[in-house]
Amino acid sequence: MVKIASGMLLKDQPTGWIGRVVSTDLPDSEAAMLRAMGLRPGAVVRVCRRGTPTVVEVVSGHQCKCHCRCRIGIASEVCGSIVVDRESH
Amino acid sequence: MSVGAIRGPVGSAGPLSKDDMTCPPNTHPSIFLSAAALPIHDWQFWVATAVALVALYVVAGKFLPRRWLPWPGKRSGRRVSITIDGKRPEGR
Amino acid sequence: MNPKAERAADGVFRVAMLGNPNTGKTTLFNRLSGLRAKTSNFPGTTQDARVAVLESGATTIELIDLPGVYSLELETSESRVCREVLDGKLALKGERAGDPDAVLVVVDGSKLARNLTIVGESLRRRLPTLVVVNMIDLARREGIEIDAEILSEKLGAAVLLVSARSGEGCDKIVSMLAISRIPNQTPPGTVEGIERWADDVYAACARPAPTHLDEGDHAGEGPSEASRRVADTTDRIDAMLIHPVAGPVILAVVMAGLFWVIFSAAKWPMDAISAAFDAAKAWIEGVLPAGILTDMLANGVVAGVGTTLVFLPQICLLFFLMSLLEDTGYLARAAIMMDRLLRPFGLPGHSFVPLLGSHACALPGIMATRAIPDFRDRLATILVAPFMSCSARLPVYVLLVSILFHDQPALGAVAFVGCYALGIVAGLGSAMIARRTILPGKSRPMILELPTYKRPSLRTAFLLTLDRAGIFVKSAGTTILAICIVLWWLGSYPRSGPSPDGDLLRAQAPLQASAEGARDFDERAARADAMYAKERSMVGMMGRAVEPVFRPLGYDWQLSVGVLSSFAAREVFVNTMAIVTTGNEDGEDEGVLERVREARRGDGTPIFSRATCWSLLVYYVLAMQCLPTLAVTARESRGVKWAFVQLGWMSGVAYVAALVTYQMLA
Repeated sequence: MVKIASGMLLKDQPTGWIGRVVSTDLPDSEAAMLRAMGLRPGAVVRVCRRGTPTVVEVVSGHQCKCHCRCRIGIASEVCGSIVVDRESH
Repeated sequence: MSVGAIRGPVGSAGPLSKDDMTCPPNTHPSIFLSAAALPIHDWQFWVATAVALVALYVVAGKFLPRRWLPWPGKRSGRRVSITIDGKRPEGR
Repeated sequence: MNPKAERAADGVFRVAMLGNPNTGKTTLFNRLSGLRAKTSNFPGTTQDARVAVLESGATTIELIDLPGVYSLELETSESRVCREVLDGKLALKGERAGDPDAVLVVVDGSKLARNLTIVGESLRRRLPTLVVVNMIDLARREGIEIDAEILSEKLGAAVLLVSARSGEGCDKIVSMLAISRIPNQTPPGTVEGIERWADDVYAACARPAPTHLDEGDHAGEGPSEASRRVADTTDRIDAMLIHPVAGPVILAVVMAGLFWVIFSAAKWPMDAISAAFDAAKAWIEGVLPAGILTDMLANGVVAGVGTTLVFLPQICLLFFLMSLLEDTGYLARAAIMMDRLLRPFGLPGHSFVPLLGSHACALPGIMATRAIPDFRDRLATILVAPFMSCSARLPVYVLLVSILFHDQPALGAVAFVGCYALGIVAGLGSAMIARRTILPGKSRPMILELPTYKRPSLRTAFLLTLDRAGIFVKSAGTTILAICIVLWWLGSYPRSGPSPDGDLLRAQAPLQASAEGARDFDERAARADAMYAKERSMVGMMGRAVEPVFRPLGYDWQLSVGVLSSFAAREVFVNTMAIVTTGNEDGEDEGVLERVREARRGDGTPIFSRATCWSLLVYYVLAMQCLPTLAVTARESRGVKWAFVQLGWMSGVAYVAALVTYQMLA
């Protein structure tokens, strides 16, 4: 069962929003899958499409100039359990 | 789209001539088989029946557990590890 | 002798190919193996793997393409299989388990930072490893340049930069595999540790790609701009394809186009195959002496093989086109979009592709459910896939719709579409009921990577099609052939003598004014004999025995024979009906079809009345009448129980629906 987390949630962010993942309050299997796909605490994400489903772009290798971008479609109830924060520069 | 262009296995062994028949031609279909209606003196009948039985075995083998269907000769393949510490590799 | 020594003794160098999904692993595998690959499976699992044997000098290399996984440590069946193969606990069917001799890890150069996680997990296994950075052309397009030497030093393993699509760098892979060594670096063992390690490795080896002044609009573009540009293009395309309104419309158009191509392009090869088998049958009957074995060969074996192969063009086209669509990246978007529509019915978006494929044939459709991560979701999809109107039902639809709407083609077309719609509605409804009863629980929320849009590979699509077609012929073909032989026997015995009507017609033939008239009477006599023989055969007796069951649906013994015969394979219904009603098995002959339409019972009432036709149509849309599909269900669901559930449910739904239809219209 997917729980609704508190704080800024990924599902509430508009299209184009860029921020960082703070935590995921998901069952182990889903959390592990998302983590393996790059969506882990500290990862930079950009909301490509808000709604059902939500499409996010996970930016990896952000510490160097050559970013890797990976696009993931996520059911909205899963997004409701991903806590995010604005990207601080 | 071809409509049933492939001939189905409807069977057309063909009617026997009157000389071949040993029972009245107008017999009403009955549940039990009359030996006269099976060409038991024709070796081809036995070959065809054996083939049909093998075919039935092949069909049954798709559904029934392997241990219910003995097959002559040794089992194919070498032993392969399919359990991990006694557990199946996949769980539900 | 220990297992590893025994494996080495046979001189085969076993290489496990590992990597994330969407890294081009299959494209690379196909480039290395070509037509030499075959599909094998891991005993005790439903995972397949493609296997190829390659030669490198004196070394024979067996390359095993493992399922794509994001991590070896996930609790999915694919990860488990990969883990156990690398740990030497699981092997392909017929082989002894043991560590692979080397691991070939394929990573996507444009997403290297994330892909390095599985590289780290693999390196920890301490097996000789070669890391292949694929899609290097795509990486350059996104402004990323990988330094292979630094990467190799950081990983402690050999690294090759390749493009499987263009072939760049691929010629060195096999030779480097043969000399691969155990890595001299050991990444951390924790999840966080491996992630930090991967970040550090990536930061060390990735560089901005050099810009070129002659690249037109993109001259002087930096790596972040290049990456941004690709992302913007993808955003624009996604906005259209996943739009809540435009998306389904585009999907409907694409699917309609796909099926139009399949059915129109497949027509001539299907007709050619059909004609070839007709010719083969006529040749056999002409060359071999008349007898039981000739009859079995012509009407059992040839019919059985032909019944399988005639649908091969459609299945091949379906797989080919679906592979192209998948390669472009579109199918993942379609699955994401369909997730929203399918979830209320208890099915995940992943079910979309198997259900779509089931419209050509349920066998490959059910096999495609292996891509569905959750077992209950997969099972629900397997159970309802046969509701989708497959190609085998088409001859039945054509016959019945032509009877119902003989001079009204427009209404006939609507009825046709209605059949497809009824199947889809029944499938979705059944899934909803199943998820609330025997498979309780919601379908797992969808998490799916959307791959980069790219030009599809014809080579990959072709090789995949060959592989899938081979599996279909081997798996379904043997079952259908066996069923056809059994049906032939049941339809041939017990034999009966000449029919009374036949005798009468034969007696009148010599009295006709012309040779043509006499011939006509002889042909009618032959047909009467054939109908008489069919009625008295085992199949006819079975039809009479089950007639009380089907009478409420409007079926007499002749239709019951047809329904029983087509339980094995739906497409034989037309031939069976042709022979039991007219004595002529040519289901394509317009004259025969006309006689089938006009066929009457002894009391003068039409066999194919309006109510009966509608009842039959509804029955055939909904009934489970495909033994090969049942067999695949039993295999994919890991037991016969679910196959019987599927059979029972679909038969029940079909019976009730046909009963209601007939009783309302009669």
